[in-house]
Amino acid sequence: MYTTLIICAIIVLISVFVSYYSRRGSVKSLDDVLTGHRSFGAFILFFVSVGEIYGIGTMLGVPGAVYSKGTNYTLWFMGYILLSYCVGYFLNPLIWRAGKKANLSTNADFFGWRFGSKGIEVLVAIVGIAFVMPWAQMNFAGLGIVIKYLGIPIDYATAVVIASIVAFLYIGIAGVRSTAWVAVMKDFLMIFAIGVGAYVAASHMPGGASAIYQGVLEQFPKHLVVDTVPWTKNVSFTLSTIVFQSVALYMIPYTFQYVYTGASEEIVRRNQIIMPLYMFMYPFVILAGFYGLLTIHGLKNPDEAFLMMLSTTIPSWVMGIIAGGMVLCAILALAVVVLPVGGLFTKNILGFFKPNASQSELVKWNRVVTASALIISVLLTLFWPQLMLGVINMSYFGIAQFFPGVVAILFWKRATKWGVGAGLAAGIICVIAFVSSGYAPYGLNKGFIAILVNIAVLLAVTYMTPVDPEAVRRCELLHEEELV
Amino acid sequence: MKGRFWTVIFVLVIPYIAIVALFPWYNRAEPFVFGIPFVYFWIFSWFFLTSLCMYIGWRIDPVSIRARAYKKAQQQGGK
Repeated sequence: MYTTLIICAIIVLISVFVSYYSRRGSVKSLDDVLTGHRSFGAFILFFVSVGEIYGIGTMLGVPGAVYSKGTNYTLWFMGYILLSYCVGYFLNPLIWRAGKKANLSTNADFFGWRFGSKGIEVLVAIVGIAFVMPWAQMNFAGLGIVIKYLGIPIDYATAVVIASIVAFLYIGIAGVRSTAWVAVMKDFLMIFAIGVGAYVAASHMPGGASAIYQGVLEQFPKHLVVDTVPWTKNVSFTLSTIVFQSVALYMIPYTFQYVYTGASEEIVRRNQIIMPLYMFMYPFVILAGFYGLLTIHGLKNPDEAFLMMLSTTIPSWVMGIIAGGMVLCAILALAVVVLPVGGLFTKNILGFFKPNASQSELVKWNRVVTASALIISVLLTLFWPQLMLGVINMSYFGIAQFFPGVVAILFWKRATKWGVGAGLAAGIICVIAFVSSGYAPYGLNKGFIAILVNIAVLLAVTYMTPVDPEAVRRCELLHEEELV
Repeated sequence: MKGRFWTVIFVLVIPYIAIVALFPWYNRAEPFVFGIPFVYFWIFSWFFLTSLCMYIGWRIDPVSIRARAYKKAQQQGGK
């Protein structure tokens, strides 16, 4: 009965060793922790950039949503991820180029550099930290589900504390390098888990995959397509959410970190082209989700559908590998979330107050900040879970408010720091107002409307403030191609 | 973005049309294609088609063509 737990624990231990051997010498500077000195080739950049996009949410959340909401959910989910790769094709290579030219390692660096402004740097860092922290919570929730299926009961609090310690080890050992190599390990385990899930679904159903879909069509026809009635609730919401989130995905602070790890602009660009192919996982998890819908009835927490389906059909050692993969997903995502929190706080906020700090001091501070961020999220998760639920609802809306600023930085010479700063502030205020009032015109996505307000303010304030010749020069510099 | 018109069409415009603009048309369960409801068949196909579109857009992307030419010249110079 301990098999599942033991295998799961072994996998987590191996991941710590993987992290240790990813160091390549000692980690001396903060840049090394945050961007690995821009040295990642195509293979490792690929895994580091898919590391957080496909995680515990893919394995538990997607089948869970298929079970409870059907296509209403899966369509926007797949649609926005797919289209965000297209947006990233244009943004990421330029973000990388700026990073190379000015030695940037966080998204606050990026904003600060273009306008030569410490103020905007600190503003971006604060907004980034505030809205990325809730991501940690979501992974704790996923972890809480996995531990129920380990064979013997483990305390939720124990699991959360252990996960945080391991996440801290990754970051403390080698920063982004650790997360990269652990991501490779995690992805192999995850593909295995999804394969097993789909195999179980297709082999236990007479008639295989198509019989599952036929069964859903007969028994749950509303789960198979997006319900078009009422239009405002479903269609305009689905489509505005796809568009909104497709521009938002690459605004999450940790994606800047990934882009900066790339060894060249071309590697970053080519990476975007392969990304959609990796979505081949979705057909499998969706199939598993529909199978769960047909065979398991009255599940209290739909996110358990995938594990529930597996736990009754596969041997405990296979379950151990799958659980290990999922636990690794949660821990890795946790590490990936706190990595930019450490970077933003240490480099952009602390750096503002202590501009003369040495690199080794910064590395030390980064560890302190990372540990504090983990401790704070553990405490919030365990003692004030309701508070975090409210912020999670806002986090994507908030993060996306960086988008108009990023586009202005990359493509609009005339943009001023006042315009970008005011736009960002206006967007955030809108998000808070919409989320707390619960109102959204025409059923549109709340973040989508906030972005429109953000753009309007950005344009208006920019035209009201004088042109900054240095900012214009930096935009021109950005468009001088980096030929490497 | 000068000279990148066709890249924008392939990488950005075509996928957005396929997923967002054509939504009212492809949002249907039947016909089943390869045993998969049409809406899923459509979106799964676009995982591959988007990648293909991006590949085409990349091949004709002047920024990328210059980068590749430069790299090639450098490699030949190195030998």
